[in-house]
Amino acid sequence: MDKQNSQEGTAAWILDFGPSHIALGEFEVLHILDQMPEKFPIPQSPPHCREVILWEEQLVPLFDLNILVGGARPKRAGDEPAKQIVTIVAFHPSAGAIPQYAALVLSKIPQRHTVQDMEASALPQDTAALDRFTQCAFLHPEFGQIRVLDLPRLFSAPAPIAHPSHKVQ
Amino acid sequence: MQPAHLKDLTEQVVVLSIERLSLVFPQHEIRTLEPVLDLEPGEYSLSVGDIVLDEGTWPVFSLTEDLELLASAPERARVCVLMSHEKWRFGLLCDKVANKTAQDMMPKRLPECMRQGTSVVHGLCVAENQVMCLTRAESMWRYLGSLGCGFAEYEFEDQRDLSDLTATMILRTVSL
Repeated sequence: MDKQNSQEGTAAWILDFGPSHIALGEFEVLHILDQMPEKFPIPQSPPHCREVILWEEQLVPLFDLNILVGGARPKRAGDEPAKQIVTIVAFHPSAGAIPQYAALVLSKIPQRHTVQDMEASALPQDTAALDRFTQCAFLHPEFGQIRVLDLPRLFSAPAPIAHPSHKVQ
Repeated sequence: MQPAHLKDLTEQVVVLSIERLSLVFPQHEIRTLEPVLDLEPGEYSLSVGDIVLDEGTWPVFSLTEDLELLASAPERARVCVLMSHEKWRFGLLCDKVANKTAQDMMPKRLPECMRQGTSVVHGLCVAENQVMCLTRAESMWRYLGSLGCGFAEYEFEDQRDLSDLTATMILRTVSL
């Protein structure tokens, strides 16, 4: 997050992905889509990132944190919750690299929040799946401990190897 | 860096639609298209049937958009797309088929967070506001083999252990 000054705090976005909340820097959230755009399946990709969308003529991976932390993947297209929000985020894979885009599936519209230094906290114990993608955490007055995600690490990390399904339906 | 599969976009390609999935194959890898109605009962348990032509028999497989095998042809399936190589032949059921030219397609790399191990998806492309997956017949053949589809005559490296057919299966050359 970009620190403005220690007294004013740091502007952030609080994102509700269902079971929990995460935080992103003010300038990492580019756009909020209140309706799910057309999704295109990409087979043999990780369960939490198995579809892409088109946004502003960009091909954008659609990332579902709920599945990453252990939530079930809908068995069929159309089985998703009725209301899903999509947030377009931007990140630099490395210093000086051109920005890249990704999309996060959320259950509610993101909220603005200003984080104070004194709110810094230990990592929440809710799930270890996000630990390696977490920069730090802070204590939100309403939602409790919230992780600040490291987007370049989240979207550049090698995905776990998936084994082909042998199931015959 | 361009997708490895980009060179295939210098020619005509064939787009197979399976549910919401679009698979793009180089046209030269497609032998012919046959209607689903021509499917005959097949020899292999994981296929949905055979297409028999003068030059041989093509076992045909049915997949979901997640590339899971189906035991029978779904109602949406309309076309059997037959592919062949000097060493193998197989067919895929799909909902519809379209021809496209390279100029119609904008190749894209598979996002880094979506890559894992060996995949049949070599890259992506965008055409007419649709995202499609670039693949090759040989990749699909290997994938079907990994699922246990013994759709050609095969022999085993180790006759003592047949518990993992996919690991020891070697396809024998089938003269076409």
